[in-house]
Amino acid sequence: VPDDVSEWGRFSDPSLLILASLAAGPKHGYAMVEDIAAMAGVRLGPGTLYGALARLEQRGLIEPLPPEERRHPYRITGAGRAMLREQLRGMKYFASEGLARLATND
Amino acid sequence: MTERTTAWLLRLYPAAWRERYEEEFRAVLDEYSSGPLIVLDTMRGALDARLHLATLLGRSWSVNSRIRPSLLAVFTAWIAFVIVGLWLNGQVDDSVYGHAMRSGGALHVAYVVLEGGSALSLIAATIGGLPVVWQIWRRSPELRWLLMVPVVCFAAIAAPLGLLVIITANHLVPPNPGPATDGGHWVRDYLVAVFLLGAVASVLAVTRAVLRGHASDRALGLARWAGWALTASMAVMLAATVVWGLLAGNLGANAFHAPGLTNQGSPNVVSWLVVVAVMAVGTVVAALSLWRGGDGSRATPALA
Repeated sequence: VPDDVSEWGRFSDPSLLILASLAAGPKHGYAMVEDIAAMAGVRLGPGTLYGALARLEQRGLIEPLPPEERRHPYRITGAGRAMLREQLRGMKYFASEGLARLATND
Repeated sequence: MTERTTAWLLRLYPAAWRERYEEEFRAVLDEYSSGPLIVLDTMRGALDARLHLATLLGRSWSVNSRIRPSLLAVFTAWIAFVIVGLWLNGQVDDSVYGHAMRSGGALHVAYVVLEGGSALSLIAATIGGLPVVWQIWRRSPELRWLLMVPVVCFAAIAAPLGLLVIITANHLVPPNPGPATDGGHWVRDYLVAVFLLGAVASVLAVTRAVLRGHASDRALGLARWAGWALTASMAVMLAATVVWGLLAGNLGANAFHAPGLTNQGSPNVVSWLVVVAVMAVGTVVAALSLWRGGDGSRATPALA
């Protein structure tokens, strides 16, 4: 798996959404789906959710916790926090730069 | 989602993936309301799992470790191919077959196919190799000197050649100097020696860089497909060379069967057989390496 989440193709955005959801605390799969829908207005399908979860786990950005009955919660790791922070900083810079350019030409 | 639909969708996933995720995935599927978009997304997830199982289950390095040597074997075989191909090309120029080839016919067609195959192989090698080299250049700065070796070797050949062209263009030497002098032989021997040494050094340097550098799965996957295209073009060149030799043998039987490694610089049966043998070994090595290197799905046994 490439180091950079942005190189994960169609799993890039879902992976960032999952990291952002887990930044607030551990969650199991469907709780992440609900949280992401409330936070970003995006409802991840089960195939997309587990494609992203597997990549994040393999890269060490999230880790599974002991199962609670049939549900398996995950939590974000230190590497995951660092990756999320780096990606969000890039987005913040992009957003502020884009808004500044819009303001200049309005 | 009904139990029956869930069971059917889960069967689409590879066994190794189900072993790791089935229980929790089943619990998540139970939470979704059934609908075509959910089914479609799950099916896409199953396809992704089948295509990238090794990556998803943390076996990407084992897959990469198999793809990289296979790609390097293809590259090495291709370089050997290029060397004997250029050797044959040098013999054919101004040979006894020159007139027959310029006047068209089967001999001409066979050689055109050979040249077309070499052009295709160069395109395939460029398409497959450049992204890998670029990623190693960008991500592994400590290996850049290895990637510079082919450039330096090329310059060592191109610089004296360019100098000769400039000297000739400015008529600093007579346009028809007559038979080759000792100086002419020296230049030719230098170029041949530098070319062979440069080819070996380039292969060794690129091999070391590719084995140690960081390249993405996507770039290596593209290189694998380009490797198959390269191998196919090598097979075409091999077939064209075999046909060319058979036709040349019929056309100029005495010249073609003259003794020695070559017939005074023209191809004969010995030089043709050497070229065909190297090309055949190169093609087989390239094809076997790609086949044994395989892809992610072949590297992981439990795909049922």
